Order: sequence, then structure tokens, then C-alpha cells
Amino acid sequence: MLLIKNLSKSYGHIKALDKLDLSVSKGETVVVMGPSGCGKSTMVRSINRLVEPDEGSIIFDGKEIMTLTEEELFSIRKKIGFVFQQFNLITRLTAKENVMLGLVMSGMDREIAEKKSRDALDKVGLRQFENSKPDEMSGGQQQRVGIARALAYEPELMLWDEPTASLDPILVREVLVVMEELSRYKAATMLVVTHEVAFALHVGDRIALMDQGKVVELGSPLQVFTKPTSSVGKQYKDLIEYQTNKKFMTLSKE
Amino acid sequence: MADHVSKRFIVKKINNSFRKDILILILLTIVLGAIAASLISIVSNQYFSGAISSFVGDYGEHDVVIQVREELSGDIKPELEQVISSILPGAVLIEGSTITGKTSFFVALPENFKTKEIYENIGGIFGGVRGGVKAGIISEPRLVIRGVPEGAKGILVEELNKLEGAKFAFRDGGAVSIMVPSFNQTGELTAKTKAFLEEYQVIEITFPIGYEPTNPLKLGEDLAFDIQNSLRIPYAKSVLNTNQTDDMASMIVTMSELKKFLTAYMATVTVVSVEGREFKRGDKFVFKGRALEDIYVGTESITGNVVLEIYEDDENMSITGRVIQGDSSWLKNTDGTLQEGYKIVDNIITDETITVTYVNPRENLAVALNKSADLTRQIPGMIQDTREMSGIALDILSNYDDSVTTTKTILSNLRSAQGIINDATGNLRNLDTDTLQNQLDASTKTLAALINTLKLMTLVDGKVSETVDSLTVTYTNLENLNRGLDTLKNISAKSAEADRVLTNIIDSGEDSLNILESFDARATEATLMSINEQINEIEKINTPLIAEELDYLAAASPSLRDEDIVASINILDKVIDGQVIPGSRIQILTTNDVSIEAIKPSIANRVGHENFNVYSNALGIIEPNARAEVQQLLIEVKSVLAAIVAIVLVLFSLGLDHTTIMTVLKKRRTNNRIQFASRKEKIKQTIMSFFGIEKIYGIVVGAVLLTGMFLLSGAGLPYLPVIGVPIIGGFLGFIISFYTEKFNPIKQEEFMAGEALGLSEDDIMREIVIPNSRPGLLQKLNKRKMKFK
Repeated sequence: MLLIKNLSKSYGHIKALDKLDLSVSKGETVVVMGPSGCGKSTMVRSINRLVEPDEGSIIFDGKEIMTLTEEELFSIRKKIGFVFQQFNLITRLTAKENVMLGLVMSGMDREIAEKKSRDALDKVGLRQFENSKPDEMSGGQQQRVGIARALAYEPELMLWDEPTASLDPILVREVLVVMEELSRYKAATMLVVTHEVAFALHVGDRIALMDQGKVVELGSPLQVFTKPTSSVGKQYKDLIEYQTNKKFMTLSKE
Repeated sequence: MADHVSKRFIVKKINNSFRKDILILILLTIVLGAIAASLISIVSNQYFSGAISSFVGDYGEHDVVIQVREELSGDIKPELEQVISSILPGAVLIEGSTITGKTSFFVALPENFKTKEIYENIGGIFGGVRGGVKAGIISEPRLVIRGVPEGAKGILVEELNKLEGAKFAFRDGGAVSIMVPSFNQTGELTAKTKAFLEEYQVIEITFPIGYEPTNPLKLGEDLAFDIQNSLRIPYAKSVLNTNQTDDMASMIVTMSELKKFLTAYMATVTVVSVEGREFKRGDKFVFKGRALEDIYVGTESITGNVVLEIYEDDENMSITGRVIQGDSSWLKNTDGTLQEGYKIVDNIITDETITVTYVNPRENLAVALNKSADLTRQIPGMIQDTREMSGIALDILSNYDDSVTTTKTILSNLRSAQGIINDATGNLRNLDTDTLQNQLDASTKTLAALINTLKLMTLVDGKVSETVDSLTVTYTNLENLNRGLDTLKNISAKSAEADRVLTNIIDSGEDSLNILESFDARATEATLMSINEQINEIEKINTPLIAEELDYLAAASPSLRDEDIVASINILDKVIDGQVIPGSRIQILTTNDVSIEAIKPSIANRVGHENFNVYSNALGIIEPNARAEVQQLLIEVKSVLAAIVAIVLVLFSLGLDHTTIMTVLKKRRTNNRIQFASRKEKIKQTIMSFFGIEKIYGIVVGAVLLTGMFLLSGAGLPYLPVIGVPIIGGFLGFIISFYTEKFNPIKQEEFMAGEALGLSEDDIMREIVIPNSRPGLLQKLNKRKMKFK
């Protein structure tokens, strides 16, 4: 469904992405992990060209995203849901309006959009907050609105850019639950950038470890975290062993 | 890539519906701004116009303005009305505003009084009103020509009256004015007048102090004649006005006189000539003066010394100097002798000595004043003496006639006495007493011899003794006779003498009598009476007071030292150096084709030297009409106000509305900017930021807004050409673009959310950016198209 090849992006002399290759199959959840500054966010934002890559190829749903016109890009973006680390809600709009915004602006009938919006909010358990504005909700609730907003489009691909990074640990869970449900029961295609190791183990079909703009390790969670070949993988393995005292294995899908 | 995106974005903006919003925004801003600027400027213009009209009336409404002191205005108004009713019947008097303590009255003249004669005499017409009111012509339309030399005004008025289209020309105070029939003809007549004035020039020849012509009027006429003939030009006329005065000229005259005064009271020290010695101007000599210490060779002069500077060495070898330190009176020692001077070379006293004499006019003046005071004090005594002498003289004159008669009687008596004497002694004077005496002497001697002989004979004959006795008696008688002859001789001599004396007395008496008779005793008496009257008048004079005044003058006479006077003269010389005093200026009106260089030889030939300056001045300059100037000023004020309002509104529009767009443009430009750039890249980024798309947008929109508002509202700034308006607008936009995020920050996360949702730029602007921006026209316009209000 998504094929990334030789994707590069530099900020001056800093190479954020260095000929990165990655693919996501339909219904697959790929969790991208790696140290801060390794290019995870740049990579995930490059997919819908929120960040313009320097070179490479991004093929989504059979279309080369790098060569799309603006109109085509706007259209393709509607097929790709995006959840931000900072929620990125429109502060002047209510939760329902935030969810409706994209739908209405894409030409959907307002009533249908409203219904879809309520449904999306239902999915994330926030129906009762539909008329609340972002500043009236907690971080976790705001992020769930953000997820609902992405889901309302019924996207073919969900991109998650560290969705729990701005949340306190208690709130993290409610977001992860929604994400897990989407992955596990809705069979959504997802590319998730996160530092949540447990989530990666639970939900990830594949784990991609990034370092210095490249995917240095790619495989099943078990493969990546039990037999790491990269130094980053080894660090993650040590971390997991430390956190779970080797009990994590039983928690994995396998 | 970033630029590419930005360009693509702006192109997109132009191609989508948001372009319309921006265009509408710009147009609406221009229209509203222009309306606001116009309204404010019109309101202010009306206010100022109204204020000015209340001060000076509307254009052409009045013909005469009369200014009086505020406190007198109530009393003077009836007098003005009286003058108008008697001299200018039909004229309307209006009381205007009072500014800075002066009240203006305006007079609207009927057409029949709008004449050259009335206008030139307007000062005289209202001159009789008390308080010395000032009346001036303010008729419009009118051309005013300033800077016309006084002597050329008559000629100019005469010539301007011949100008086609001129109603009439007249002397307008210090200017020459032309009345124009209508405002529309002003431009045409201005051009004609200007052309006429440009045909002529006023050549002004000035002479510095010391080279002033004795008769500038004649010299001016002669020079005009010379110039006209030597250069073969059609017109040259002296227009010198000897009555001209101005402050500068008065000051120069005063200073020149002051210099003369000071110079007259400055002591002149004359060096006693020494053969073989040479002196030159500027040589300095020091004298002991009042200094306590003696002069020592090799030292410098000190306070109390007198320093003399050689000033002049004329042809008579009289070397004079001025005292530049101390006072000439210090040159005298206590015993009255004069001190010896020592030459100063390079401020050091040398052993070269001189002796001097000096004349100090101030000392002389003091002496003269003191003497005069003393003399004045003696006048009362002199009057008394004179009056007594006059009384005696009058007494004498009153006995004059008796004296003449007495004199005549005396003379007659003297003549009679002379006759008697002559008669009595005439024969006696004819008697030859000398011969008789000789004979008597001989006879006496013979008789004596005889007697002696007879005495001897008595010895012989006693009878003879009687004879001897008889002869002795005879002898004695002869001797007595001889003595008597001496007496006769004396008497004769005395009578002759008496005759001569009497003759002299009579002659002189007759002369005196003639003089006495020719003497006009009555006239003398009248003269003496007149003298008495004059003495009475003199007696009335308060001579003690005069003496006191003279004492005061003596005390108040310049107590300046010579050093002070010399210093003052030097200062005056500096001030008046090269200046020209009135009367040393000649003005010649001639055609404009005469060059200054061409006439210089003629002038030099006339005056015999080249110490003069020649200038060419315009015959006159058309002064911008004061009312038109005020109108123009008001228009300028109006346009400036409009400009200020327009600039402010442009700033508001840029700050409130367009910064929203500029911020988005900037965000787009910097979205992919290198975050961890090297120094070189940062410099590049900084440089490129000056050419960023938001800057271009700011410049273009600023220029368009300001230019549009200026054009629609008629705004303008002094000295600012039309091309300057878009430049200023562009500059404002450029500056604002640097602070765009401060004016209108956009929420990056919301913007990115919009992008991620696949919203078009148009939709992002409408639903996310603009609603979050500062309230402005753009927000108002946007609201009607928003889907989530």
C-alpha cells in the first residue's frame, strides 16, 4: 500500500533522511522507533508532504506522491489520516467541528459530515464532548479528538506522529487503547512513530528501527528486539529486558 | 525548494478564489482609506479656510485692510466710518478678527473707487485716524512685484500700466502691484509681467568706506550716460534714491560716525624724529607708564606700561602712533617730563629708544570744559560791570551836547587868548634882543673898564669919585637892562611857545569838535540801551546751572583709556570693513543684455579707481499672491493631512490584514528552512530573507494601497514626487513584513492540521488562519465565506 524508496531529506548539512526505504502493506501496522532526531517525524510527515522531501519515491495506493499536483495532493491527503503529537486541533472549533472540518471542506453534506463526526467521536468515546472546545478537554481527550478527526475520513492509511508523547502516562493509555483497537479489530493500515515499546510489541506487525535517517532494522517485534543486529536494536533489547524482566515475550502477538 | 513552494503558493493564491478576496480587500482598503483621508482633509481644510476667512475675508471680497490696536478698535471704528462716508461713500466697513492684540477692519470699495489714485493714497486717506492705523490694499486679483528699487518704481508703474490686460498698476507700499481684471487672466498677465521684468536689470555699484562718491546722484547720471553711449544700449537710467535707508545702512553710518568720534578723541603720539632711524607701521614701543617697576631690556612689557604702535609715517616724516596698551596720559612723569620708549621686538623689550610728544584731545576737552565752567561762573559779575559802565556811558551821552558847546566856547576863548598874546608880544618878538644884549655887554664892559680907570684916578683926583659913583649907577642900570633883555627874550620865546601850544590845542580841539559833532550820540545811546536789554536777557540765563552742566560734562567726558579707544576702533573697522554706507551706492536701470564686466571700465574711468563692486539685480520679482499662497498652503495642508491619514490607514491595513497573508507566505518560505544551518547558510538565509515572498508581497501591497489612496484622495507630501508615493508605500510594506508574525502570528499546528486534512490553501486561510488573525477588513470580508463561523 505504501512504498518508500530512497527517501532523502536534508536540513542544510544535517541529513534527516538518508535514502530511506520502507513499505507498509494493507492492514499492517508498522511501528517506527528510534532515538530522538533520527528522522522519524520527518519521514512520517514526508509521506503526505507536510514536509517536502529532497528526493526519493513515495508510492501510495499506486500513485507517486512526489509528483502529485496540489489538487491531487489535497485529494490524497484525505485518504491518509494524520495524528499529531501536539493534537493540532483548531482551537476555535468544537470537538465535533474539528472532526467535521475536513469533511465539510471536501464537499460533504453538512448533515452527513455531522453524523460521521459523531460516529468518529463515538469510536474514541467522546460523544459527550462533541460541543466542547479543545481548551475544555484534557490532553488525552484532545488527542482522541485528533484521532476521530483522522478516522472520520475513513482513511486508507493512518499516520501517527508520536501521538502519546505529549501526554502524561495515565492519559497515554486511553490513546493507546484506541490505537490498538483500530489496529487489532479494524485492521487499519497504520504507520506509527512512537517511543511506546509496549505498544510496539502489542500492536506492531513490524518494527522499523531508525538511526541517522535510515531504517537500520526491520522485522517482527520478536525478531527486532530479541535478535537485534543494529546498535539501536541492542539498546532497545536491553531496555525491554530491563523493563519487563523477560516477561514481555508472553505479551507479544506471537 | 522552499522558494519554489512559496512561488507556487502565491501563484495559487492568484488563481484561486482567495485572489478575489485579496483584490477586493485592496480595492476596498484603497476606497475606504481614500474616503477617510479625503473626509479628514476636507474637514480640516474647511476649518482652516473658515478661520482664515474670518481673519482676512474671502478672496477678493475686500479691498483694504486696516489694522488697529485691539483696545482702540471700539473708538476707532466710528472714525473709520466717518472717513469712509466722507471720502469713500458707498464703501462697506467690516470688523474682522483680533489676532495678537490687533483688530482688522476690512473695507470693500465700490468699483468707482478702485483706482490707482485711491490705492496709492490709501495710507493718506486713513492716515488721519488716530492711533496711527495701518491701511493696506488687499484687492484681488492682483500681482505684487517686490524688490523694485525705490527710484525705479515710478518708471515701472508707468510701464506696467501699458501692459495689455492690466487694469492698472500702482505703488503698493514697498512694492508695485498690478490689478488684474479677473482671476482667469492672472496667469497670462503674470507671464507678461515676468517677461517684461526679465528684459531689464538693475546694475548696482557699491563703494566701500573711504571711496564713497561725493555726489552719487550726479555720478549715477554720468555713469548711465557713459554706459548708454559706450555700449550703445537703448536704455540706461540712474534710479538711485538718496532717501533710502535700511537698518544695515543705518548701522554702518552709526558705526562710521562712532569711529570718527572715537578717532577724534584718541590721543596721537608723535615720535620725535631721529635722523637715520626708520619706523614702519606696526612697530611697537613700550614706556614705563604707571608701572611700579622700571623697564628692563630683555623682558616683556607688563601691566601699567604704555605700549605704542606706529600707525602712520606720512610724507612729512611725522611718525605717529596709537597707544594700544595703557593711556597716553601715563607717558608723563610726575615732574611733567615725558618718558622714554623702548622698542619691542618679538614681545621682548630692546635697548632701542625713542622720545615722543603727544596730544590728548580728551585732556584738552576736559581743560576746555573746566575753563568754560569758570568763565560761566564769572558772567554774573561781568554783567554787573557792564551794566555800570553802560550807565556811566549813558550819563556821559546825556551831557554830550553841553560838552560840544563848552568845547566850542573854550576853543573860541583860546583863539581870543592867542590873539591877545600875539598882539602883546608881537613887537617884542620882533625886537633883536641878542644884538641889544651884545651891545649892552660891550657897553657894560667898557663902562666897567672906565669905572676901574676912574677909580684909579680918584686916587689922583677926588672929584672923580663922584663920576665913578655916577658911572657905577649907570653900570648897574646897564646890567639890569641886560637882565631885562633876558626876560624879554624869555617872554618872547614863551609867547611864541604859547602861541604854538594854543594853535595845537585849538587844532586838536577843532578835530575833537569835528569828531564830537560827527558822533551819533543818539544811536550810541540806543545801542547802549539795547546792550542793557541784552544784559538783562543774559542775566536771566541760569549761569550757575550751565556751569554745573559744564562741570558735569567735564566729569562725564570719555574716561576711556587710549587702549580702550584703539580696541574699539579696531572692532569697528572689522565690522564695517567692506561695508557700504548709504550714498555710496548707485543703481542704474538698464536692459538685461548689459554685462557687468562690460561696464566696469566705464565706472573705473568715472570714479578714478577700482574700489567698487558691481552687481546685477532683477528689476523686481513677482511675489506669489498672499491669498493664493494661503489657498495653496491650505491645499497643501489638506493634501498633507490626507497623506498622513492615508499612510496611517495603509499601516493599519498592512498590520491588521495583510500581515496575515504575509505570515502565511513567510511560514511557507521558512517551512523547509535549514534548522541547524551553518554560519554561511545562516548568512545566506538572512540575505535571502530580504527578498522573501512576504517582503515582495508587503512592498507591492503597500505601494498599491498608498498610491491608490493618494490618487483617489488627492493626498500629497511637499517635495515628494509622484514616484515617491509607491516607494513610501513599498517601504512601509517592506518594514511591516519584518514584523508580520508579531502583528499576526499564525498557529503552526492548526495550519499543519489543515494541510494534513487535505484542505486547500484557500480553505486553510478562510477557516483557520484568518479567523485567528487580528480583527480587520480581511476578517470581515472572510466571515461571509466561512463555513464554520
